[in-house]
Amino acid sequence: MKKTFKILACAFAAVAVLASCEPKVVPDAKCELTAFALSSGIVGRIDATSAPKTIIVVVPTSVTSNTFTPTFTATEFDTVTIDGTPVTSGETSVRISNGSKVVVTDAVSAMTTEYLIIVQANDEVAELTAVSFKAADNSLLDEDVTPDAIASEMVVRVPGEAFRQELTVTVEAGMNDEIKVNNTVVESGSSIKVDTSFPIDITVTDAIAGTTASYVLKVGKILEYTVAFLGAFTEGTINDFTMALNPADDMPYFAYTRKVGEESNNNVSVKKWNGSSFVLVGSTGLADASARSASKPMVAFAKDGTPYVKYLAGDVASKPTVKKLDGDWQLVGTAGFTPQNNNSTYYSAFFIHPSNGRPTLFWAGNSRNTTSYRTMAVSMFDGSEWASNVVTGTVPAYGSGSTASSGNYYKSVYAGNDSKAFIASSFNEFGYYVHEVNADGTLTTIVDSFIPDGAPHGLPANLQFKMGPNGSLYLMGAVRTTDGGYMQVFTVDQDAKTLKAYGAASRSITISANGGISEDFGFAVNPVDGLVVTAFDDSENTSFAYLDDNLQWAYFTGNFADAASEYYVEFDKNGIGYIAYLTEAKELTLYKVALEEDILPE
Amino acid sequence: MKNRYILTIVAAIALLCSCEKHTEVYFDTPFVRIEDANGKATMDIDHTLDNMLTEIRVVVSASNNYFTEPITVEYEVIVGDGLKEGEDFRIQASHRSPLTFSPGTYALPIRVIWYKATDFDPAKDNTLRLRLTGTSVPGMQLGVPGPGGKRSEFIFKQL
Repeated sequence: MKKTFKILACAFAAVAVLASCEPKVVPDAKCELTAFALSSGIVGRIDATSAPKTIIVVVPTSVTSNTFTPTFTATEFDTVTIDGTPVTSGETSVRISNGSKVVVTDAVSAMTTEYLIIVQANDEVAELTAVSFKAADNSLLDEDVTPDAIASEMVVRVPGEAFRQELTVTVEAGMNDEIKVNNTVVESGSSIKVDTSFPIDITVTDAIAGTTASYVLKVGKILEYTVAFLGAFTEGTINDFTMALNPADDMPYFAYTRKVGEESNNNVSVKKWNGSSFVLVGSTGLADASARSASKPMVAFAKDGTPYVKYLAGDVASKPTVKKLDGDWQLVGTAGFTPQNNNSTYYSAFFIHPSNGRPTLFWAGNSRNTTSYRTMAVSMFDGSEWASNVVTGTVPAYGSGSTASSGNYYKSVYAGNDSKAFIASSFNEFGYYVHEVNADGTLTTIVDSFIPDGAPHGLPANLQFKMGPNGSLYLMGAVRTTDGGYMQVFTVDQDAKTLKAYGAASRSITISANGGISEDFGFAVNPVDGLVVTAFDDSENTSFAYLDDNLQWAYFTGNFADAASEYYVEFDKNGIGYIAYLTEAKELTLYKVALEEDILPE
Repeated sequence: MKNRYILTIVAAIALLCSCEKHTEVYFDTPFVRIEDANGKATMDIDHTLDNMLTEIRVVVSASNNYFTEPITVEYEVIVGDGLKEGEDFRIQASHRSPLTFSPGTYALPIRVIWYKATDFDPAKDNTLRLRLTGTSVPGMQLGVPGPGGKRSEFIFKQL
């Protein structure tokens, strides 16, 4: 018995010793959450640096319940309560809302830590919200470059020096979205370098919503206008010409006077540029020039593209004759249809009225002591005969100003579209006028007697008139100053009924004795983007220029003729421009003005 | 008599065994192919063209059984002796092997820019081959299923 007691006592002692060897509980000096999730898909973002400490949870809108069984990891010996309810990770369901308090308590010390739960709703959309090449990040850019809108396919354009270069792109996406640029993860609002020779793939994923959006960004070049020589021709000796574009084929047509072989007088021919060469339109020598030269040929078009040609015919004492291409050139009405001969110093407005298809001519008579002498007159063909009338009321009368020659009608220039016809006209002393030409040939005044500031009296005769984008009207004319003058583009403000200077002054001019200027010029406005282009002789050098983004004249480079005359510029409806002039060698020379070919990485 | 009963029971058991539910077998072989937008595996390149961008794609076909995590696809680039990378062509660096397909993404592009060949020699091998070599999915077939492993390789040929 005693022995048994001894054994038990020893055993008890051994157990006591062993028990006393159990490791002591040592506080870890930490009391914090290291992970927290409401469910497997809703992982909280713990911010222990904020005050108060926060747990941000993004809850998809598809989750309607606010009761969750959170899973979390806390430091050793810690217990957790949420809004006062003790919670065991993965076991306890608890109601959680924005502002719920999570309290972590260290069981072996007095430490506690509080977290504030911030519940955010997910936007459920994977979307790129911004993409840009910032000038601050790209030395090759002067300004930030961004697409017009965020779309699955986007194009931005950079200057030539930045084209196909490595650039830094900055991207931003919606809430909780992950962005990959060319398969590399980029934080929203951050940047990454990309090779812009290739399209840039941007993928945005909203992992919470399980949606992905893909985008492709292409970096192209800011396209610039270039001038290209197309061709040149002569037919015998070309004396003068005009150019017009046929609305049916958008090709430039040329009406010109020329002498061929042993001919002693100028006859009229029409050629067109067909895209690769100049070809005759109808028969050559369409006028009767057996006794006297024809002059001032012009071509105009019906809406269906049918060409009409008008010229002052030598056989009818410099009165106008109109022919229409119908197989070959056919006389329209009678030859020399105006009651008096025409002033042959200037070309005047000849067009087919868009509202009724009637050939229409504005002209100035050159017969003294007649009602049309140096006065605006209009002739229209009604399908069977020409009717001519002197225009009164809406334009100055000859001799109505301060001198006997004031009110002298120099010329008109036509601009129009499918439905409306306009003319701009110049009158000695009274300046520039702009009218809408009604279907019956009467005029509705838009601009009356415009004389630019600084013009001491009158204006030179020379002017050009063109239609720009959306039916806008532009006039280029000479501004007379005390010591000469300069060329200026004006816009027609149809509401204010005035002209407004547009862009910088162009070249200086010399005003000749007859009221015209010595320097030839042409101009046109691109109907697509409003680019203003002019061509002119510049101190015996031909120059092509355009108004740049700052409305200053910039010059095209090219091997243009040293000296030339009779400049014409026209743009077709697609924005392709043509410039033609006559060289000293009497070659009619044609250039094309167009945006360079687009090159996108695609 | 007793043997007859035994035989009947055995036959019944055999019959029941033959009525075991038929298990449908679905075609679920994952595969990956390389092709152009028209599904072709070759493309001719005019050696006189400069800065010509071409784009082909790698397409994975894998059901959700296989596409639970990103799939990587590797390919090798085999350049013929008539071509030089960097001079005659350039592959978009961000789309070089391996390609990683996140779940839900089934096609990724490979883009190649071609430059005008200044010393083109038609007698040389002017091909650029992009050949699929492996994926992260065990058993994923390279090329479309069937004999020959079609579309497991894309061949550019400069002419």
